[in-house]
Amino acid sequence: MLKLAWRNIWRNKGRSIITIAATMFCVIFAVVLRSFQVGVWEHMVDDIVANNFGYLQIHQKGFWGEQSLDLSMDEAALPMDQWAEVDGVRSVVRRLESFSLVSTEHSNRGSLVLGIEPENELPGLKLQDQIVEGQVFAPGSDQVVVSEGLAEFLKVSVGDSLMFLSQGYRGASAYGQFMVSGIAKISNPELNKQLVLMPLQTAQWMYNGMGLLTTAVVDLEPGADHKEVKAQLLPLMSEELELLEWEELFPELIQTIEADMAGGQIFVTILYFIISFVLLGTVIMMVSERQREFGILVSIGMRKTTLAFVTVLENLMLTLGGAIVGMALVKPVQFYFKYNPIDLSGQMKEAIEQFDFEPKLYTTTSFIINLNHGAIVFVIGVLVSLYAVWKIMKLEPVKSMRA
Amino acid sequence: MTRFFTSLILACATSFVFGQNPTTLLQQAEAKLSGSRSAAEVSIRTVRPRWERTMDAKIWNEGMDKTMILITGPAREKGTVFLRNGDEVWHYVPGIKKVVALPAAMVQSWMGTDFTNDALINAGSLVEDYTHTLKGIVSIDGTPCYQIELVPKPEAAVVWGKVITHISVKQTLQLRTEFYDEDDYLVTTLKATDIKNLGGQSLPSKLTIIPADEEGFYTEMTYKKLDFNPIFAPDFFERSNMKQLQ
Repeated sequence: MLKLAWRNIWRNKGRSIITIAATMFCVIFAVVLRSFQVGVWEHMVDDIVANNFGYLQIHQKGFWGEQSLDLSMDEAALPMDQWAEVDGVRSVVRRLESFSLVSTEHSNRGSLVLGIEPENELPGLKLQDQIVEGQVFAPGSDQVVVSEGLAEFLKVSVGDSLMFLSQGYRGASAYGQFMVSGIAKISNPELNKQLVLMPLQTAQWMYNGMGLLTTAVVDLEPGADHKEVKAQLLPLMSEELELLEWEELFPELIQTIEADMAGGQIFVTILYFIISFVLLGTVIMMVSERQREFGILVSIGMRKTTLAFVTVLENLMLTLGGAIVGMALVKPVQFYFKYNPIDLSGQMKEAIEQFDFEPKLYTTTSFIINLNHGAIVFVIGVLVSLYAVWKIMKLEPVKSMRA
Repeated sequence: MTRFFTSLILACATSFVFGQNPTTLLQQAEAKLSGSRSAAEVSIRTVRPRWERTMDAKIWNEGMDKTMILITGPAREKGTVFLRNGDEVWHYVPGIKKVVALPAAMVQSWMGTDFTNDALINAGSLVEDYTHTLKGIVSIDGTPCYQIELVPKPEAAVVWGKVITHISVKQTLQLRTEFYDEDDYLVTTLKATDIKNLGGQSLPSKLTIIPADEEGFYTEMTYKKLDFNPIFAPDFFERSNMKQLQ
């Protein structure tokens, strides 16, 4: 019977090709659409989490909520070496983060100040690829690196000096005058507008917090699962510390992603409705073209159920073939746009930048999406072939032969 | 007949309490605290559940709109100066030898204390921007005080939704003032205690500011010296004077 179905497919190549092509394009459309949606978020999470904030952060309990320097950790009391030895941990990155009024002679702006050690930092803050002008500060020097957007706002360039005025640890005043050694382009647009980077020791001195850290970022080995690492780190946390994963650090991000995904789901559902009718169209076409043939087959003694089964089998092969070809063909497209994102321009770009998103469309290369959508289209193919079954079962041989 | 007498007595008592004009009371109380000129030496103690910190300062003021504050200790803050002259507020930071203009709306904490920049430097008058109602007489730490409710005038640019202040009946001193937000939630309480002879008058020597929503947080300002007749050079409240102040 399989052979019979196979022969039937080849008997009318044109019709088969149309069915395969319809399925294939359906899969391609659905997958491309979802790939872009998932890809944009994947890229954003990757950028914010993997490059800048880390999958896991350790603070004094309450720091993340209050963002107060008074909730800093004394580095000497932290078992950093023990943390670094946990499986899946590459290193523990030390940071002091706070806010400051940054001013020049003419203007000022509230900024996020990050005291870091660039050589130990996450990829997004290593400051080798990010510097667009000047150079990185020397450790412990009175120099800072300013993000591109902030430099533009304050109209400063390399060699200018900036005044910092803020409040330090336990009510002490925090002030400093530092030279701009370099300007960095930070990929996250929100950070790029307000970030100032300075050597960790300089920040500790300015905020009157020698030996203090606000944040220890747990840098993971490639491929390590942050939930597993968290479970291993938890027993090493004292009562006074909090260990937060990125989902807890950025709950708004998760919500935004979920809302956007729900929107995407609606869109894809609409797409599937259209796809269903396209496929149904090919089945109806097939059934009406083969009315006479079906009539003859039934009148010379073929059982209706057998005939229906063969027809369904044909359709299964066609849609399966189309789905597989579609899944395969869309793969290069996914890879291409992951590494060559579509750069939005004009109004669209401005609108997206207002929401602090990078105005680029990336795709994901996750194969799950292809598999999911390939399977869904295949199931739709199976469902619409039921039309053929229904038609065959109520077939009246004489009438259909005359048609 | 009894009812008539009761209401007569009540009327008398009420007229005794409400016979006082709340606006005049406030004016008298404020005049006692801030004369037309003053020079003070204070120590400011900020208390937090896990730590506390003391700063020393000198405060000069003239009229309602000129104030100069010089921090004299500890070493890290020494020489820091705040100047308010009219609408402008300046901050001199000795560490970087720079005078910085402070943004007009400064409601954040002043030097890490519970005082806001606004309260300490821009200290406006409770007389002009509010309408006053006398609510009655209550006892504050055993001292009978007039309780006055202040509601901001519609056009007044103030941060509070309502203020309730208590002025002692005998000495006309503002002993306790509560600041509420627009939703009638208590934000901070300012207490004046330890009445002593300061600059020739009986005045509270300790002001305590207590934020309502932070357990165990408060700031005390203790007057060590107060002089109501300092003599200021004509350019005392000028920017140029900030760097050489001692």
